[in-house]
Amino acid sequence: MKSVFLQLTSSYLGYILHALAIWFLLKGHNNPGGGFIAGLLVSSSFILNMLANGETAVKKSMKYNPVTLTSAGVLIALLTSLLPVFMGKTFMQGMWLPTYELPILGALHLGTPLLFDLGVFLAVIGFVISVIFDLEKAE
Amino acid sequence: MNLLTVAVLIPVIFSFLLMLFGNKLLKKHKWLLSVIPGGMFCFFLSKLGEVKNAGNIIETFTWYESLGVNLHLRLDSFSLIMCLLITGIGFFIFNYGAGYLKGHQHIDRFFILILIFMASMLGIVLSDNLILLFIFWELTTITSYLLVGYNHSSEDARKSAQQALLVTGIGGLILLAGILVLGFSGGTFIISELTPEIMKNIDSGLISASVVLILIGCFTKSAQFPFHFWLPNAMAAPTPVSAYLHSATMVKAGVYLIYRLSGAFAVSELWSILLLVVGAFTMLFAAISGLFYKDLKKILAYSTISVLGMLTFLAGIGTELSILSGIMVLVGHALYKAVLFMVAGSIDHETGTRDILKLRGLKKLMPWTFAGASLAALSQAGIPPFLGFIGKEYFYKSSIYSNFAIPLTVIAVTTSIILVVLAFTAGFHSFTGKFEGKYEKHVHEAPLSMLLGPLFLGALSLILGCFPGWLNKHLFTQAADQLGFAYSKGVYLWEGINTALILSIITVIVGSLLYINRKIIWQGADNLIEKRGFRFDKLFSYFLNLFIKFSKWQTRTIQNGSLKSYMVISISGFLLLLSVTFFSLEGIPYSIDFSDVSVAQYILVFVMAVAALLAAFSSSLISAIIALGLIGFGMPLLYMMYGAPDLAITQILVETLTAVMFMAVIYKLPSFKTLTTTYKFVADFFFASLSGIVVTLLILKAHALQLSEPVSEKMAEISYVEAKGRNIVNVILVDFRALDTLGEITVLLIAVIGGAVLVKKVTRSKAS
Repeated sequence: MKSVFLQLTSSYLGYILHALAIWFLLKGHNNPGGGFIAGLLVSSSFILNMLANGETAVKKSMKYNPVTLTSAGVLIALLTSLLPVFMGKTFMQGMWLPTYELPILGALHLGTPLLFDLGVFLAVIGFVISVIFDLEKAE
Repeated sequence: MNLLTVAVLIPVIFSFLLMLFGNKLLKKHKWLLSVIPGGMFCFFLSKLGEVKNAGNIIETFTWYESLGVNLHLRLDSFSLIMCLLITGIGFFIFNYGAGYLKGHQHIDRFFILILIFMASMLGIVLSDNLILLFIFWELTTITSYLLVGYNHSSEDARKSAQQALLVTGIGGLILLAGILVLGFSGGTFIISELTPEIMKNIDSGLISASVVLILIGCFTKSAQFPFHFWLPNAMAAPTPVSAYLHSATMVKAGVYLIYRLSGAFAVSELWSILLLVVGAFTMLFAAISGLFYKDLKKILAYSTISVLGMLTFLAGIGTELSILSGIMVLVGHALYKAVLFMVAGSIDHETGTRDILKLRGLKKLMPWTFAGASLAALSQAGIPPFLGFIGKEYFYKSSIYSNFAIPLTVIAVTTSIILVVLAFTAGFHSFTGKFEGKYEKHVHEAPLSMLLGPLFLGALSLILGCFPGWLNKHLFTQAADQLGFAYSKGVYLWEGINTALILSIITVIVGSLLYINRKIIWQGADNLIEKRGFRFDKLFSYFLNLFIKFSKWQTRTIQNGSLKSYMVISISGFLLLLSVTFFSLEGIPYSIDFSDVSVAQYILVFVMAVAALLAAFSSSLISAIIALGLIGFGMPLLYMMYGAPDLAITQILVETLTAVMFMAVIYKLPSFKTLTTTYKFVADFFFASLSGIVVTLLILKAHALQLSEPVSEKMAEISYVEAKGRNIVNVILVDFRALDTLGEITVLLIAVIGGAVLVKKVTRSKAS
């Protein structure tokens, strides 16, 4: 049973949710947000898509499977934590680039915490999607 | 330059590269991989002069300062010897493996694993920090598990790998306990700081505890009695693996740690007694057991255990002479045993069997292999001027000049005589005699890649044996000195006629006589084997089965499949812990201040309470879910009112996702039925109320008590200054407490993999 209304809204809402997620991810260090919230937002867009178009459509639209996504997230977080060690600092010590002023987004602090948050972001997406897929499959 | 760190990392990096791009490279130029250990061997050799002059090279890397775990690497003469063995023999193993596993489906896995293994082994011998050493120790356990189980389609290989993993893994945990006792009582985890002065100040009970724990760890790793049984079974591994892990490297890790700590533990009598007794028994027992077997690799495994026992025994004697001879035996054994394993593998590879009763007269067909084998066998038998001869001479001298000269010397000589028999059986028996040609394969000489190792290492045993003075001057004596056992006299091949020499001559003669009459021994052994009712590996699997039965029972009882009982169990545990905190802290709130609660909040809480009751008494699944959702969405509103936007957003998203997940499964669930009896319903009611009351009381108490300065204020203060973020929640997650977050997302990953495996299993069993 497919609803045209849901299909249409899900595609537009998907864009909005993704944009919102990126906003939350980038601004999370100073304003409400962060990788966890952004990850949940993206996963809800996938779930919306699944409700509208079915599981196979979502699987087709995904380039990577959930296990890869989660692994990539954990790996990014781990490597980010290791990066300072190679620069002669302590494990997990924060490192920062100079602040950039960007249009719309405003001042942007780029540093290892953001990269770490990216890892959390990916891990959360992978986790939620895999749970949904598993539930779908389970009888 | 942090060269030592780089040296440990290089194999790891290459192994990751192999994982990514291995298949293309491995089709043609497998031998190129041996450049890695070869190059590293040259690197370590170039450090010889520096180590000799400076004593050691130290590298320190700050890793996790607040936990006291830092990267302390130290290259001294003893580590240098080990590094040279690991990389030098590694070079030939890489070549040998390329030939031996040619055309194997998963040859890339062999190289990936052996590279990681090599790195971990280098890590063990280079670590100056006991914790770091333990980490590398466990890495070798894991990689050896995967390598022994390399032919994973064979059940035997899987079982042996599991056994080796369990024995050495449990030993590793016991070792960790010992390390912690030693490190905390000594006040340092750095090995070179554990001087005799520090050790003298430690309570003798603690010393004994750490001695026993550490030695159990070392004994499991180095296959000492009664943990020896995993090593012969691990012969299910492909031969290149046995030649590397089970002769020269991994099994030496335990012995390495014993020698490394022998200076510090010289204060403990228990240390030397345990080493002496276990070592002496192991070397004799394993040598005799070796006589019973007809499988080439099993024979080699038992003679390896015997020599490992010899090394333990020498450490137990604990004199300057014995430590020095231990180092000599260690190097000599690594060189000849790797060769004998490679030869056994070549024979197996060419004829398809390792049964010595079937193997005869290969001399003419495999002349070069025979050359390598005989060099190694002569070294093991202790024929001058091989390196094995000098090792055995000093082994005898150590026993002669020890406190219990006569019994120890008798054991030493008996062991050596049997080792001569085992050496000749492994090195000569298959090549001599009459060729009968009843093999599955057409027998011919092994390829060059598989000859390189036996010939070169065999020749090395001879050459190094001819110039013992050089080796001792540059490496051995200094290594013993750094271990705390300074040996002042020189080492010579010919030291005149003395007791040790006479014993050596007797050993070789008696050993050769026994070898000539080996068929009589085998007949006797066959009769004995039939009568033998007791086996250590059987005992081990008996206990393993008991344990598995226990865990099955426990799983059945606790995880019985009823979601409700899971909830009851986990909430009860939670309540129990909370109540402990609740009652252990003094002070009960006298009054509750409701003045700052607004009308909106009262209404919200009332709505949520009604929804909770609805959820509990509802007779339809959908309305229960909606009622729960109402509570879930009421929560973030409360968070908002108290100024916690991050929590609110997260809660809303989680709540949405939960509702959707419910919807995804709801049509698959059966319709709502009342299965609970009134009695159970009342019990549940009380349980739920109790949980609510405990949590409420605890929150009230937490609000009233002020045990210490709230950490949130401190964090809010430093959040922007130190972490450049104004959102404290996020700063805590990704910066202040990033280690916790890393742990949490790792849990997510484990759950994802577990879920994927589970679903795959279920769907597969459905399909079939």
